[in-house]
Amino acid sequence: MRVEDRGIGGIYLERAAAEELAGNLVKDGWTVERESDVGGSRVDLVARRAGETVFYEFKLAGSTASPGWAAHLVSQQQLARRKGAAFRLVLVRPPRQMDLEIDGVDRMLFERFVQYPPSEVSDIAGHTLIDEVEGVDLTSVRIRGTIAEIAGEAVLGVTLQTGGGEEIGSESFPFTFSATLDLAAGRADEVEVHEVDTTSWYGDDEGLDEEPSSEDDGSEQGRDEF
Amino acid sequence: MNTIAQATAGAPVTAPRATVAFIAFGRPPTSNKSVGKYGALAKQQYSRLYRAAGGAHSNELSYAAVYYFVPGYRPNHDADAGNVHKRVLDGLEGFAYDDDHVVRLVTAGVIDYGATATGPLRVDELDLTNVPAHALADLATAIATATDRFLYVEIGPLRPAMMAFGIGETR
Repeated sequence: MRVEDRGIGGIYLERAAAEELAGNLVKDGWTVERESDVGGSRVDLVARRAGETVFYEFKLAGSTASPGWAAHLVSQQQLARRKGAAFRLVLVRPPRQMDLEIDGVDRMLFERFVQYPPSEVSDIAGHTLIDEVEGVDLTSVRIRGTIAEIAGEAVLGVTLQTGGGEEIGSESFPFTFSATLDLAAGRADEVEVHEVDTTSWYGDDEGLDEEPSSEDDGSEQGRDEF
Repeated sequence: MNTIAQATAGAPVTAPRATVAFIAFGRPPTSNKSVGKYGALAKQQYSRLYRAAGGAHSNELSYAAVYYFVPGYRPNHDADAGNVHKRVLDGLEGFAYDDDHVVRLVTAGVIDYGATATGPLRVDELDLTNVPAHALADLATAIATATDRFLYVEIGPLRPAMMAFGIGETR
């Protein structure tokens, strides 16, 4: 992968990972060559032992790769296969910087959603009952006095019912949000839901405009009429 | 006890099947997806992807590998390994095979390809040597985006040697 695509931190982490992996391979009896030239192509790391060869490509996880990276990966795999080598992609996963929690934030969001459920969820069925908010993961926090402005991700647990009150099932929908919390009162004064991930229910967007076949509608008709 | 060879002999074979793989963006469908029009839509999605990857209908005994790629796996947010494949294989019924009972071996897994939450630098290896060429570019593109959840689905003819035991002892 080209150096300029992943920044100084990425370069350091990929090199650190390559050094760590190379060290472990050598301990296991492999000979290793870093940034090896194989038939005019550069391979991040080549390991050889007793007639076995492995090509390694390193990628910093969580970083967007350059537009040509996918084609590069395909060419590396094809090169490895032509040379009778295995091909392994090494995902380098850097540690997260810090953990942060606000006590009771899940309860505050839950109480808000009981009053004002997100439309993306309430529109799914005749009745949508808010069961819980869990797994709150904050990505941004700004605290001024007793007011906290936060943003993050969480999961909304709901029970879905038909318009007639028949239970359809329980679902969990991840969502992103920003909110203003009154920490002294222990409540969420404002909550803006940015996105609700309903792909586990709706699936791929493509095809949503298409009507299912009459065969599929048949015996399940009653469960479609939310 | 039925062996794979015996089962193969008794199965209604329609055509030999090459290994087919495709990428499906989004989360694995939940158990509720088996009902109603959303179940039908899931079937449409997977059958479309299967056919676009060159998949043919066959009742030959098969294996399936379904890997759920998650950029930052959290147990409260994401399906576990035991729940990533069932609805996908159900959804291919009628297109890849008549009934998913022909899928006698399933490998399912969760691959976290995001930044790790805690702990030291982690180095995770994915062996991509034998990813079918038609799927590798899509898989690489999906990994390169680094932000989306997606499924890698692979289906092919079953061979007895695939039934591996003592997997932890192999290199």
